[in-house]
Amino acid sequence: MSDREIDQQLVERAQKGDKRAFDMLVVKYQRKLGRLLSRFIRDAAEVEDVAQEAFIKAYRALPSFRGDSAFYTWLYRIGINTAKNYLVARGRRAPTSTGFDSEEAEGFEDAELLRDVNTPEAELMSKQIGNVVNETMAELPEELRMAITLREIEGLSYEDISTIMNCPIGTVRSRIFRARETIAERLRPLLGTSKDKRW
Amino acid sequence: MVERERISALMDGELTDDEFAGRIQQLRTEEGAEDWRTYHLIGDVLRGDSMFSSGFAQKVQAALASEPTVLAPAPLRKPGHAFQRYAMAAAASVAGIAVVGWFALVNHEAGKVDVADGNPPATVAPPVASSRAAIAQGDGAVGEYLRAHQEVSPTAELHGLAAYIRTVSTQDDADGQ
Repeated sequence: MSDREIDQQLVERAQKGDKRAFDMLVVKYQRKLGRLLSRFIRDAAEVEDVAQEAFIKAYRALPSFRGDSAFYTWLYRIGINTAKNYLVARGRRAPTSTGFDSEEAEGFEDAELLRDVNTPEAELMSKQIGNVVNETMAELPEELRMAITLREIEGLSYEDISTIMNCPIGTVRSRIFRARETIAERLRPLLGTSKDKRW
Repeated sequence: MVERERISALMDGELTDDEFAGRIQQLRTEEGAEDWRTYHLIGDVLRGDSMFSSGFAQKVQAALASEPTVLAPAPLRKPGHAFQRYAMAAAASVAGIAVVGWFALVNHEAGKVDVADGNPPATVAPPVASSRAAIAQGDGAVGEYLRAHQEVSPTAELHGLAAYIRTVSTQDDADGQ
């Protein structure tokens, strides 16, 4: 079950009226979309507004999404058009070209990073989250740290990671999960979610 | 814990099809949604993606809540449907050609049989014969004129009108002798 197929499943559920499925897509792509929009709009608060508008437009246009392209590629186009309209409406010059096509949208990493400048509290929260993640990463056992790094930063598949780390795919899956869960355990108090939730 | 591990694999696109069944449903629970959010947050921070305000997703959710629920009645096109569509079109074309060809063959064979039996197909008598008969009945000078020019008359051969021409016969003593 590929990433695209998972998105497709979520889209199909949203198309059947399940708003929560669309929420999952918002969570998954919010920062990626924000990174894209920050190429056109420098102010972080404005980027957030435009991103929100893009998600709403995408939701309204869901019946027309037929799965011919990946969901993010489709969302990307909506985001670009929303950003252009936003800039034009404010009398600013809209980019005539994005400088990269939609296929590249999946991978670019060099956008200026967004800074959360909404409120001092939110900025503090962002810093705290960043510190917890980085500190916990430093404390992870080597095999967990390498597994999650290869997955999240290098974007490798479990199969590739299993080759690099010379271990079964099941072990890779377990290591990545344990790394995530270790970090999540430290984050939950900060995020205000229950520590003791268990399945 | 097993369920959380599956969510972790789900967000990496690494679940088997068997495991996938029910996972999306699981994300609809508050716990599943929370884990989905937290794991994605970790990935974003590790990649250096700065964050929106912490409540961004909630703000979008609140905005979505005031939106009318979308319903898309048309089924999504699945991979392979395009092939089926082309295959159906090709099959329909072949079937159409076969039917036309079969009718043409049957008619052709029917014509052959009539001729072979020595019974010419029942057709309307050539207009030339009937016009000749009519001319024969005409009076002297006009009859001569028509007889001389009837070969070049455009009415002598009216293609496609044979079905509308009624054949008549007359008793002609002169022809009989």
